[in-house]
Amino acid sequence: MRADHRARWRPELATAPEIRHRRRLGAALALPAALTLLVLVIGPSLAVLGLSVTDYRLGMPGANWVGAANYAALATDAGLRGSLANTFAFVAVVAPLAVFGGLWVAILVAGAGRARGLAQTVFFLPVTATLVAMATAWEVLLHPSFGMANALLGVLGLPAQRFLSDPNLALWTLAVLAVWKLLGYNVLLFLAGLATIDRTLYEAAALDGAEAGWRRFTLVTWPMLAPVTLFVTVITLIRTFGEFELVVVLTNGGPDGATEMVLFTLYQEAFRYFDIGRASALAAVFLVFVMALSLTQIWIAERRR
Amino acid sequence: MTERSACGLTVEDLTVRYGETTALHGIGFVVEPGALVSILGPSGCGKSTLLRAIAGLEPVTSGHVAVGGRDVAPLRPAQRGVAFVFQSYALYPHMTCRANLAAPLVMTELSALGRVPLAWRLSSTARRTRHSIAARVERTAAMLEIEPFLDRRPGALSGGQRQRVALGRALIREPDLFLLDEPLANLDAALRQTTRAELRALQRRLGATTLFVTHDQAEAMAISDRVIVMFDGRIAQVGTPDDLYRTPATLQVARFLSQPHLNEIPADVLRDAIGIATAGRPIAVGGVPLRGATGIVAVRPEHAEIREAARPGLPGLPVTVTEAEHGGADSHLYLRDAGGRRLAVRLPSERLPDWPAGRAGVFGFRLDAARVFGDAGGPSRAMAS
Repeated sequence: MRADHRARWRPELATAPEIRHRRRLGAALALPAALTLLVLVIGPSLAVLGLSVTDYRLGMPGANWVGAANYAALATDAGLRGSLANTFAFVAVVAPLAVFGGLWVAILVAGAGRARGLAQTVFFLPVTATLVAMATAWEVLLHPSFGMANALLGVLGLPAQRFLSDPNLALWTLAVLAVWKLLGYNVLLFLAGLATIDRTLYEAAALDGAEAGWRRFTLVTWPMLAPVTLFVTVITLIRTFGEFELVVVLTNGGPDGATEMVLFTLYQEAFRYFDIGRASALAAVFLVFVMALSLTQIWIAERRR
Repeated sequence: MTERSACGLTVEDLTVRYGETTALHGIGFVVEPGALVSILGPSGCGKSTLLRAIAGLEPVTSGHVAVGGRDVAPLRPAQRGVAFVFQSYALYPHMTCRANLAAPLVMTELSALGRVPLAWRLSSTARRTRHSIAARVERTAAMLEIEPFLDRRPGALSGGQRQRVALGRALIREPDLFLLDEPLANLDAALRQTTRAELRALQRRLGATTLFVTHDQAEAMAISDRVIVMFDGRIAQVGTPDDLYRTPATLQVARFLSQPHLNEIPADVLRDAIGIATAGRPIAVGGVPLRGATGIVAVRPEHAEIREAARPGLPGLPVTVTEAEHGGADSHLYLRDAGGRRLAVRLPSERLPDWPAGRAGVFGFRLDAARVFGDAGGPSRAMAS
């Protein structure tokens, strides 16, 4: 009883010294986390913003103020523009497939009964496996002369493809692999969401004439999954926008820049051409995009409450 | 199946088994049209399973269920003409109360096109159906007095308001049979009392055939035309509340209906406790001569009393007061006899000060209101009271 009473802080009953003490205590407890955040996140972000308006190059003694020139280059420089265009095309294809594909697979897996555990493991495997190792397997599968993918196309009577070296095809090959990579994670999130839906809602739906299929999906499953879907969508967009591994491991941006995307270009500008100013401008754009997405998610989630 | 007898509900030899365990053992009963029948029993007795099996939410192992004279075995839950009110209400949390009420009609009466937002305007049938649905929602809401919060979501309502919306969603379908699964269990005590009276009045007004599951014997007795008492997946007794009160079929039923306490005294103990001057007239307990009775004599606290001395010629057990439980106008006084048996009597609260803990007295009871149960638990002899 007593401890309970003391545990409950009632500001309207507190005296002035008590409030001061409590504030000091709160500040002291928050300090380590706040400092870490400042040093590791906020500081570097501000530094990036600062560098993005200079012509600083790695190893140079000083830097000059260039204003918005680096940002203007994002719009005018053919290489950078191509990279941004590739990224948006990639996101536009991969994100919907990974989100809705994940939802579809999760609903199938949830209804799989005894095979459920197996199916879950199979779909989650790409998430746990190292992509760099898996990429070797993909290279073999997609090899133009002895790859299994082309063998399959041959069986179907279709011409062989150079999946990773055809400039018209390479980006879409990466898109397929990206979906493969993201799907398991999304399936897992959707399965967790499905498990939290109250069973009696499905029973109520059955009595209301929505026992199965599309009706049940629209009446109960989809609306009840809305918060999970929002989260999955945002996470998927951020991860797709920031795709890097696949490009480095499988195409290295080629052929002829066909698979260059924002993070890969950023890396190239910074660590190959040492043009930190440009890289920083690109990083700032990436940061703004991620932040806008996160804020949108928080805003929608708060409004629904 | 009773032929065309306009039955409300007929259940015949219904068995539900999950692997090794049997939840329902050959249940059979009939609910007349317009009647309110309660299924009463402790947790885990199978009463909810029975309700869910009738609704089609639980697979039936064997047996027949007919709603309105129609065998429902081949029908989906939505086609059975039954409405179900869940203990948790199971309202769709993302929809307004208006949409919740409309949901069963939207799902069964509108075409796929008619359910699509905006696109339904293209179809004249959908426009007409939507119009009639809106009117029925208004009518149902008016009946339950829930119009003020029709446009709110269930999350913004109190328990009582949600309960009404859930009831509305059941009523709006105008079903042949209402199945209510502990609909009052999540309400607080005062609201439970008023809501059950309202529920009863509404049921009478609509003449709705209703099956009502509860574990609260007072609730079942208060609102039912008939009560089905269940234990361990079997029906123990079916009767009017009065039948159950006067002539419980088994000791188990008597115990369940006489909460919080039923006095159970072995007949031979009672025989030994008969006061002096027994000669002359024989003593009958609940119509059974005590002289030959075996088994348990059951006495409700309201038919028992505590006195300073035994009445001559009547059974009286010497007891000591252990504690009192104040219950408003009437209170329960708990006693212990020489054999360590716990007994209880009900008495007006103003008499409590006369019987402090530790005081000795004699426990007596109304002979005609007591019942004798054989050792097996059933009545020792068929009798009318």
